[in-house]
Amino acid sequence: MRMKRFDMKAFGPFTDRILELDSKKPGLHIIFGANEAGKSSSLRALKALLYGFQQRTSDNFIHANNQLLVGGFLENQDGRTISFQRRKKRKADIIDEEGNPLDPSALAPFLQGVEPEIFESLYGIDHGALVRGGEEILAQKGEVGQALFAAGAGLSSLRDVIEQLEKEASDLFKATGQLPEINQAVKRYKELQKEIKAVILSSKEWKDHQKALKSAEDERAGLEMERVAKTKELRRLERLARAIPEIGTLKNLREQLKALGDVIILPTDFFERHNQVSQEIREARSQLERDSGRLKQLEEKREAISFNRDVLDQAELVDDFHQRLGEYRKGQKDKPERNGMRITLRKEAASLLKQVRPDLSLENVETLRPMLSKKRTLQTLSTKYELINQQLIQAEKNKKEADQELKETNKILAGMPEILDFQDLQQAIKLAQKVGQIDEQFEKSSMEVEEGKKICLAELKRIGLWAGNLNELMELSLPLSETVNQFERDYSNLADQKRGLDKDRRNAQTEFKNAKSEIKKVEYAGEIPSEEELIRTRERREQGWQLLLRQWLSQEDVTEESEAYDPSQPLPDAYEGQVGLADLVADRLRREAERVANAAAFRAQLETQEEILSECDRNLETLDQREKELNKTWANIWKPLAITPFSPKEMSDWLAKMDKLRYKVGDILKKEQEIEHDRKRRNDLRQVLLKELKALGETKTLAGEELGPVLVFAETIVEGITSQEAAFEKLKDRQKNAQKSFSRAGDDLKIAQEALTKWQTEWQKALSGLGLTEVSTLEAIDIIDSLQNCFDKVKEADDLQTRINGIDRDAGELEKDARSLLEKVAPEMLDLPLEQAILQLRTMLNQAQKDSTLYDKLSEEYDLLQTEVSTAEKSLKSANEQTDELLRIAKCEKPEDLATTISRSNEYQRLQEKISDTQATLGKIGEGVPIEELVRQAAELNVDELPGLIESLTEDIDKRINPEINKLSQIVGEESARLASMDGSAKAAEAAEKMEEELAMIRRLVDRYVRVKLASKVLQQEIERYREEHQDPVLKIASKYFADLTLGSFAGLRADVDDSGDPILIGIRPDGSWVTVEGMSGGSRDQLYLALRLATLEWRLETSEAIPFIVDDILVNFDDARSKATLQVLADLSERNQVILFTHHGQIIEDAKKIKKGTVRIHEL
Amino acid sequence: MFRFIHTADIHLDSPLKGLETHEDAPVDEIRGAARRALDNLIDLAIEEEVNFVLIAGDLYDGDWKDYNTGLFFVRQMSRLGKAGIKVFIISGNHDAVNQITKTMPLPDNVTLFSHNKPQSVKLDDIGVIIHGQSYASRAVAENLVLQYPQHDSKYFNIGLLHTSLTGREGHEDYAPCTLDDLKSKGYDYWALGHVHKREIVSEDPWIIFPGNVQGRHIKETGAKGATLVTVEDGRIMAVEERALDVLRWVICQVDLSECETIDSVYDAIRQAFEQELYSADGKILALRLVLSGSCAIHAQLFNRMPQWTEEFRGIAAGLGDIWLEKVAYRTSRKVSLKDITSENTAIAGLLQSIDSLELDSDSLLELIPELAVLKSKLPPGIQSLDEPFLDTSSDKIAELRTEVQELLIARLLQHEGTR
Repeated sequence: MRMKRFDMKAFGPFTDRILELDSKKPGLHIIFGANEAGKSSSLRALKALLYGFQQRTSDNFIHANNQLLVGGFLENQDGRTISFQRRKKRKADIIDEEGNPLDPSALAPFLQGVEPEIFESLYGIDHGALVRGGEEILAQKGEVGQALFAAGAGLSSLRDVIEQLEKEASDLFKATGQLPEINQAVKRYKELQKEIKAVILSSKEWKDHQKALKSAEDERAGLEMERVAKTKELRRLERLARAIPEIGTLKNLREQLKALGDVIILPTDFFERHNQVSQEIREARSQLERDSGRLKQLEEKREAISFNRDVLDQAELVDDFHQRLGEYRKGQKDKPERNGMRITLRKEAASLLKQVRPDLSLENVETLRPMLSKKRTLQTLSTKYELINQQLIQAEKNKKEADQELKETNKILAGMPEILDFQDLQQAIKLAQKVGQIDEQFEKSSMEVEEGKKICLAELKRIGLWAGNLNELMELSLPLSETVNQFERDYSNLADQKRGLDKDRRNAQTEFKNAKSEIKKVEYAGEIPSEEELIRTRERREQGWQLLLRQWLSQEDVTEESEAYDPSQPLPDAYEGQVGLADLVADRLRREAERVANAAAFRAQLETQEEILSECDRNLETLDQREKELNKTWANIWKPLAITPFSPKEMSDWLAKMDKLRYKVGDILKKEQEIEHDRKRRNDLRQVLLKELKALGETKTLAGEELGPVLVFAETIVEGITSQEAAFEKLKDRQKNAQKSFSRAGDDLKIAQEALTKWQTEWQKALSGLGLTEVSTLEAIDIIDSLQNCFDKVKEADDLQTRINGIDRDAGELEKDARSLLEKVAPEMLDLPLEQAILQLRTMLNQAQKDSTLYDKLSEEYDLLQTEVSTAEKSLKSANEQTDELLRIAKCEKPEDLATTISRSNEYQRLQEKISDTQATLGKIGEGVPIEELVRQAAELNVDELPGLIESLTEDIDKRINPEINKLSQIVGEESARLASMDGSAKAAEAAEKMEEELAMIRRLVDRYVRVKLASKVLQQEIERYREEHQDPVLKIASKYFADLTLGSFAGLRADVDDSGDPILIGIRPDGSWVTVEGMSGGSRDQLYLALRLATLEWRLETSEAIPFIVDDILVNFDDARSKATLQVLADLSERNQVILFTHHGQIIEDAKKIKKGTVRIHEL
Repeated sequence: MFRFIHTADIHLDSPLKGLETHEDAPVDEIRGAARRALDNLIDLAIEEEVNFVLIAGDLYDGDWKDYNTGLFFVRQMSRLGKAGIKVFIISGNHDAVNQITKTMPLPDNVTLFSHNKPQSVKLDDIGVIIHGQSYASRAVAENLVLQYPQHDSKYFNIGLLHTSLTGREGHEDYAPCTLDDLKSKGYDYWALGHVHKREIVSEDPWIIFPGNVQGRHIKETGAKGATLVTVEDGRIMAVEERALDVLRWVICQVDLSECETIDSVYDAIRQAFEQELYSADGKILALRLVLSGSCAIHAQLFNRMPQWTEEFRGIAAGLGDIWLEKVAYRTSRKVSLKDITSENTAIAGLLQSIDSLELDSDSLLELIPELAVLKSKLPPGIQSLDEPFLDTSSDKIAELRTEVQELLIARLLQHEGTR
């Protein structure tokens, strides 16, 4: 099939773009579009035409999806054609020119059932596929089968497919290993098998346990019954053993009761009541006896008491007298003493009065009392006097001191010298101070300059080439660095040219040698025929021919000439020989034209090289001349400096160093000038200072140039003058102060004197009432004090007199009252002195009080005792009545009989109680068995055998029956538990289900494994088969393609085997040597893959309908020559199979235009 | 009036086959399905207040030895006993070789018929007589019916028999007999067992295979359960089928011819699943998905079968209650591979080679030596008669051939395409 027209009606950027692919032969159709011109779109359009639109398309940016339309006109080899269009639609997308839907199968004869994938892989190739194919061949080291198969199937990645299949298989299963899925599943399956074995319950096991359980239960039941019976007997015997002693006791008690006979049973409280009543009678009697004796005694004692009732009635009055007696006694004692004191006081008062006013008697003293009120005034005036007096003294003292001070200061001031004016000196000092530490700076700078100079000189020496001092250095005129650089460039150019010439020369020599050796090679291979030789031979042949002509036609004798022509043979033979020789030379010239041409070329080359060499030599001479001139000019530049220069480059360095040094020296010289300036300034300042000092009269000589010493001296002078000025000011102040003090002291004195005069007047006035004059301040106070004292004593004496009078009055009243009482109660004591009478009255009263109290007490006791007696009599009567009642109950006649009756009754009751206790004990022991039954059973037993019986029964139960039952119970428990655990669990069943699940998985995986593995094997087999079948014919075609595509760099391809005997592909060089795929360049491998693809395509043409081969820009990485070769190859193929090549490289169009053979059409988009 | 349940082929604790666990599988929901189905049977009997239950053989799997299974069975029978329901059992071919059947003591309400000769049990209170005989050995070749007694006209006659009648596909021929043999006995009801597929063999008299109570693999599809029979005045008034299964097996056919995109495939499959779920009475489904039709997506399906299977499982898991048992890829190309082979290409050669491959098991083992090793490593369970290790039936070979072809074509072409 071929495509005769391709119509992009509405697709991507195209509207009604028609490509006429019609040509006589199928042809190579190059579809060219620059970038963005729609090359890719047109390629997609082509696929869309043949196989329908992609579901999602990017080519709808101009035409909407439902507008997209492509069309084409196809022709089969058998001449059938179809013209159709395709639109983007799920169904009925193929339509005829009129737009009527066509049967989709209408295309089938043209496409030959080639599926889109196959179409793309077999009939399409792009640059990517080409490169991958090349890489693939390398990766397989040229393994022929895969290479061929891959190419044959249009596939480039067989190896990957096989590897993937094998990997999937080994992920599923490996003979050894844990990880593959099948291995894992089988492992799990086996684990589940084990699990089932562990949990499964066999029917025998269940039955065995069932049986064991039943037997143990039966046996246990029998033993339990036995234990019940034996335990019952044991209990009975134990009961009897406990009951037998009690039964004996009971019997005994009953006999005792019987022996007691008839008894009156008294109430339980009888005995107590009896005792109580007897006690009451006893107590009442003894009480009565005691109380009547005591009553009598009390009566007697009371009768014996008698006392004075009158005194007792006047007890308060007596007590009052007794108290007043104390005061009376004190008064009598104090009276004389107080009188004495009164007299003494009066005497003292009189004496005091006498001191003040001897003229006055004590009786007149009262006239002086007003004076006492002036005491305060006198005291105040006295204090005032003291103050005034002090002020007077102080004022006088101050006046005297101020006068003295004034005199002293005046004297010092008169002795002071004159103060000098130092303003100008001060100005000079300030100026000098402003320049600072000029001396030190001066010294430091000088040293630095010296040091700098030394360093620079040393540097100059080191740089070399030139000598001189620093000032000369500064003035030195050096060449410009630009000049030096120019020389450097000149020299460098010269050297470059020389080097270039040298290289040319060497090349020429090599070429020359090569040409020579090539000529030699040619010559060794045999003499080279030349045109000259041919001309020569032909001339010689012509000579022979002329001789023969002359001999034949002109019948000339040419013997001689013949001799000369060839002495060795006759002329015809010689001529024939020359004809052969000429032919031979001509033939060789023609046959060995290449060799001849080569030889001629090499000779020409030889000549050329010779010319080049001499040209080189000439140029070299010129350069040498130029170099000499340059050297001279260079030296001239440095002559003024008397320097022989080194190379410009070195001199350039030297210049740089000199420049740097000169810069440094410049700095130093500048500094030196500054120092000189400083020195002058210092001297100026110094002179000014010295001048000012002189003006002040200071003429001290100061040696040297330094400013410092002069400045210091001047500062000292100024300091001296300043302090002198300060002392003068201070004295002036002192003089002023002394004058002020003197006048103030005078004022003070005057004021004090005036105050004293005023005081004296006041003093006289205060003393006026005293009747005294001329009294000092101190005396006046003393007089007032004495007077006060005198008045005090007089008053004290008066008070004492009043007291004495009171004592006498009280004593009289007491005596009167006492006598009045005595007359009433004890007239016999009227004669007694008052004091004694009162005391005796008091004693009498005390005695009467005591007697009265005793009498009252006895009366009270007496009444109490009488009440007691009547109570006791009542008790006795009641007790006797009770005794009668008791006798009646006990049926006794006398109280004495009661004791016996009580004792019998008690005995009877005691026995009854005991019997009842014993019966209770037996009841308990009997645990429900009636006592009489117990008694009966006990009677049946031999008491001595009882413990033996009990012991043997106990032992049987404890040692035999119980352990046995325990053992059986344990068995029952174990078996029950075991059986309970056999609960119909579904564990085994679940495990079985899980096993089935694993089996299902294994089955699926095994199926998959078989398929994958089979696919891999079949594919490998098929590759081998394909190789065997197609190797020879396809390789033959591929071989030719490969040679063509590589421009004869390879002569072809061959199948070979590698070290392990596997078939591989190798490339053959024109010289017969071979190259493995690893040895090929990447480009060659790409071409190898292309050759195989084209060969397969061509091979298939033998049996199948052609399908257009779509080539998408595979030439991008080919060099021009191979690109051309490839185009030619494609053009050749296109004679039989349409080739449509898409490209966006203009060069390819150019190349294509040059193709001579084949049908090539170029379509620009 | 009385009612009874007729069931058979309980195969208690027989595992479900062919279900591969995966992450989303409803494992817990279907665990112990046979037990739960029996549970359902007991519940049904109690709810419906039946008078007795008939079990026509195959209580257990023949080679199943766990006595726990028997204990579970007895417990269930005791439940019936407590409800006053009697049980009549004949042992089948599976039970005949099973130790549990022989040794397990049964509760009083259960009667296991003798295997020596036919036995008849009368239920005088409701006027029923039941005739039956157990299997003495695994393979009973003789016609047991011949020895069964003629009907007793005073009673309602029921015959219990484990048989394949004149032969049933997929079931071994045991106790063979004809319909006439059965009819000649004059019984009112024949309660048969052995055939797992429910079948009403005859309505006069009633002769019924109730089928098994729980499907165990993909060949036992559809609802499974027991038959509930109501008898009034000696006449059968109703024969009802009651589903008891826990897990239901279904084959779900999906035609993908119309599917052009992957999404449409998903949709089609989801819809099919939903349809199956809808008609499953709320049971959990063990579903085999069979994809068919010639479709555009065919090559993609065959290229990545394991991954597709995972995708479909995902859909099933999303819907819940579906366990995807297997996906059978039976789709075909729109343009057959044969058309491609007319081209003289290397691929055509490959396809022809596959077509001409000998694929019997010996050839396979020769072609792929690794298979011998694999076979030796596999548990014997996988090499059962039902599904042999290398199934060389012509169907399977053809399937294998197609799948390998498709796999290779897909890989070879797809691979190029994906670059």
